[in-house]
Amino acid sequence: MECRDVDRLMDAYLDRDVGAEEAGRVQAHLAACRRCRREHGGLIELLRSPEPVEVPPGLKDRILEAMDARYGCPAGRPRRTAGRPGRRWMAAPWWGAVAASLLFFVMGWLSSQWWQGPDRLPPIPTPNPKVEPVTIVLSPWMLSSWAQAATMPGPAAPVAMLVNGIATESLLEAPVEVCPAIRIYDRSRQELVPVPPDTDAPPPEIPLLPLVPRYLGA
Amino acid sequence: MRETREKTADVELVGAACAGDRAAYEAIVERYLKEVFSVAVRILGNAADAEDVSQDTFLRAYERLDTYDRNRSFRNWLLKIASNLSINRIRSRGRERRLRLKMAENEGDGTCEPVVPDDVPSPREWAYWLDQIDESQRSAVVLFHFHDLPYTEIAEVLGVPVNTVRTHLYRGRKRLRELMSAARGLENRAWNVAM
Repeated sequence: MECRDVDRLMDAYLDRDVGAEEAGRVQAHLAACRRCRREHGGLIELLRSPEPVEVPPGLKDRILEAMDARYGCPAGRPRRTAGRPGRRWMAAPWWGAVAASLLFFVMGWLSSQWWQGPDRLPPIPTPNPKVEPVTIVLSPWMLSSWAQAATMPGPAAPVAMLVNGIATESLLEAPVEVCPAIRIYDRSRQELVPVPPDTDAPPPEIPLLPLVPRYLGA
Repeated sequence: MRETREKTADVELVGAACAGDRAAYEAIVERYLKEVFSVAVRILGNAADAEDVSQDTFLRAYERLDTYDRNRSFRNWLLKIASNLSINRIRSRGRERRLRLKMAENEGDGTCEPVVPDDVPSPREWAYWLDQIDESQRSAVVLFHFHDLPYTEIAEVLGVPVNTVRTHLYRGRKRLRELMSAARGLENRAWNVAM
């Protein structure tokens, strides 16, 4: 056997993955070859099983004392169950489900109170005819599927109502003399949207989604 | 046959311990403490840490007795807990050691050279040599060479595929060989100077 054969076989030899005959040849080569002894001897000696380890005296008793201290089970008294000692009250799953349900409802109620906005749009202030009307242009992208689904006439109308709500809300604090009329221009139809509808009736109340914050005017 | 008898005895003891029989768990501790402690001390390299890990191993095993799969080896399940706790302890020590090295580097002139021992430890000082390699490689080397576990059981204990165990062993041994060669080089230079 050559040195390069020993180098090639050394991992398999250490893995105990060579036959008895081959292992014997490796050992014979190592005994005769100073170079291979220097190269591999240290590692072989290191990986030979060391002396058995002695358990420190009293370790077993310390472990059992620690268990008794943690789980409150003095020597000789049997426990009812293992698993999660000291936490038996959590073992019944229905307690956890009831607690989780209560928490969910409370959080839901609290968040609904927090998000609650006005029930209706603020009244549109009386515009001052002496002040130039403000035109708000609705781009097509604003005419979302939400607006399409609304029952108001025309796809732009609900969005226009919302926009009007934003605009009027911002003008609520303004003095009457600077309060302009608000016009909504639907760019997709190239026409003004009648906001409010062209009657004397007050603007219809739009039912609000509970999660839409107040500042959207809805 | 002997393994089957031992496995049956383990299952009976675990069953009794789950039912609350303290004496049964005491018998489990008696049976496996030496092996758990040996694995821990060879991975960690010192007895004090190995005692802590041994205690934590049996406490944790008791807490999780209801999760033990009785179709598998109880010994390997216990060694898995011990190995994981040992590896975690090495990693937490590694963070402290890296932090200390960084602090020393910041305080000094910026150089941080590895300490070369005046006398090279002999190959039998396994604690020193194993401390030089990665903790995963160290665990694989200890379980294979010092505890004669086959690849499949080491894979079960470490929770990795068998090929990963082979890789850990190969790289660990390669690194040890390189370290020992470097140490022999230092020894030779010292010898030449003395001449």
